[in-house]
Amino acid sequence: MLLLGLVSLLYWAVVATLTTRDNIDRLNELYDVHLARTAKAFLQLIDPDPEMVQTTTLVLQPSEIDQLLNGTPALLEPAGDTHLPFTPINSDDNHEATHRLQYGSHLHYQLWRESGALMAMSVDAPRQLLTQQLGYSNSVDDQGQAWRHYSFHDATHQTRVVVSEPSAFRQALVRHILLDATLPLLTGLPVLLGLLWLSIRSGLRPLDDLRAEIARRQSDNLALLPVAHTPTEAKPIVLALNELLQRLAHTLEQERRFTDDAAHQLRTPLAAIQAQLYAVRHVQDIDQRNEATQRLQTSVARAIRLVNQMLALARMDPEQPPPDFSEVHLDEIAETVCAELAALALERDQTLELSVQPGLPALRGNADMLSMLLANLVDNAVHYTPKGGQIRVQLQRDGAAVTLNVSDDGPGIAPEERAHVMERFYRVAAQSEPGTGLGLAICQRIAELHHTQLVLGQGLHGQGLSVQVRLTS
Amino acid sequence: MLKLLIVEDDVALGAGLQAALTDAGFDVQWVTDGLVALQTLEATSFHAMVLDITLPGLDGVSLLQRLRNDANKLPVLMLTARDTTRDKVQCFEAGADDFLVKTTDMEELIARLRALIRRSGHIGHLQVGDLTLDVDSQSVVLAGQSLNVSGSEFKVLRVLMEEAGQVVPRSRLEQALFGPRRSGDSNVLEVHIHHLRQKIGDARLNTVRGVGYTITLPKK
Repeated sequence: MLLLGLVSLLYWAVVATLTTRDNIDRLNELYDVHLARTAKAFLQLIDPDPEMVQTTTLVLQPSEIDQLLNGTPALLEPAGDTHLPFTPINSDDNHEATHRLQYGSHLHYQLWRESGALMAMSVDAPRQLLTQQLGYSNSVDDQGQAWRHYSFHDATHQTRVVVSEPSAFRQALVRHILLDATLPLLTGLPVLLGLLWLSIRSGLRPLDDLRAEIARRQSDNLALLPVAHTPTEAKPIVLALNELLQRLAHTLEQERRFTDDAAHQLRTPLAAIQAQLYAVRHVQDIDQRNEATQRLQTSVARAIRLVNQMLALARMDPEQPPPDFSEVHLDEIAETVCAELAALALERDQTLELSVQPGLPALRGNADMLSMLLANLVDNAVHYTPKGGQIRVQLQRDGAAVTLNVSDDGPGIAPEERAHVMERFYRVAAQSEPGTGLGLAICQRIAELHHTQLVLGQGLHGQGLSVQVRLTS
Repeated sequence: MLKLLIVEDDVALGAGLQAALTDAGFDVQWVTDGLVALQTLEATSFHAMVLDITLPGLDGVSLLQRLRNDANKLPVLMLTARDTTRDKVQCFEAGADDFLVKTTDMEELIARLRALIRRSGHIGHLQVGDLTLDVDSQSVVLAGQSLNVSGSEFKVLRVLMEEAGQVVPRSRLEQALFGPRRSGDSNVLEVHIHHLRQKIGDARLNTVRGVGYTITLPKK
């Protein structure tokens, strides 16, 4: 704002100085032309007979000269210069006459014979030659006054004419004209700047209000900013800010819910650990103590599993940057995951089988996440299928996509419950196996990150559970 | 007895590890500082080390780098609370042989340590129950009886015994047989397994269809 004011002032000053200098030069030129014309008019006025021998000097009053000169062409017309900033001379005849009268009375005139005799002069002029030089010249007289002269020789009349103008007079005229031209600008500029400042300030007021509104806010206030009174230019910014605020609110809400859930869910295994630890220390019966130790281990395992799964889920939050995708080979992932979990299945006398259709296409995905997805599904199957059960992992080609299917012949999940098992912390009723209720939520989240969904259905031999994911390249 | 160095600054976890691993038959020394660990390694030789990342004195990754710079090939298992892919990559690049997250259960830790030591070749022979494989003499002994196995069968059996109790994926066995370039003929491995089964007994060698094979550990 201040800068804008300063810059416009500086600009104005530079332009004004340059124009004024230019105008002074033009005006001086113009007055020189005028001086020369006056001299010629003066000669024509006297029109001396070259043959006549005159002994006395004709002395003229300024008023007489002015009267005579009034018959000569106007000052500006011959010059044809429209750049002059003042025009009253052309527009008003009376004014023109007055002006000339004043102008003419200030000049000195001399008309000399070749012989050196002074033929005619204005009453105030000295009797010595005003200037020796022909054409335009300057000089300073005995009183220290500066003069501008124009002098010429006329062959027809055998005479020399000199007309002199006081420089101070000309300067006063020039100053007057220039002041007339620049005064409106000088007075207008501050008004203009003031108006500019006022309009910018009122234009910026909504932005200032917005700034104050944001500055006033508590850090937990994520309410949207008002859009109604925002100037059009700032609207996209406010809208983008609002969008960010919404996302932040969503993230905070999720975080709050997750922390809440996590604390509640961790309480149970920790309480169990505390109880069993008490039993280990206080129960005398060795069998009971062993049993408590066994349960202690189970509870610890459960707490660990819960923490790991919550971490995994937190890392796949929608607000986290999307995972890095690269070329993945599901068959290799499946082999590794199944090899890791097969020992567990063997312990439970279960049959784990991996069947891969040859020639599967490579996919784009996140290998770590897809490993976790498959590991969770197989782990679930191993845990919820009774001893001696059967688990089958299948990879099948489906055009450019690959269908991954994990089926078992365990108890399965009732159709009405299938929609719920993917919610966080949801656990199927009457479950003896320790679980966190997060496994399928994690799988679903991974599937979503790969732009697909888990499909739950019936498993092997008309029972059990099958979970299917169709992964596209 | 297999000598083990544990570097872990958490007293509760360190003491727990020491107790569990001593019970599992290792000769355990436990230090809580990275620099102390470095001095201990200079003074004594170990069969393997369990190493934490965040440590006073010198962090685990730097310690490992120094060790590898000195061409020390001691098998190192990183045991840490950090579990992102980046952490793992960092450890393996520094020269770690294995990586476990701190919440892993003791049985897995013990199994992995045994496998690490077996693979490191510090011991010239592998033993699973009454089945013994001598790496140096390329011989296999079952219940005191020397078995006649081919070179390929020996390669397969060695990997299986190194990973005893774990299911070894087919791809790893094929790699041990043919090197990095995989053979298109998948029957070759089946033939070797079939022969091995006949020699060491059906019950010892389990198949996980579509996945791989495993040598079962004797039940305690």
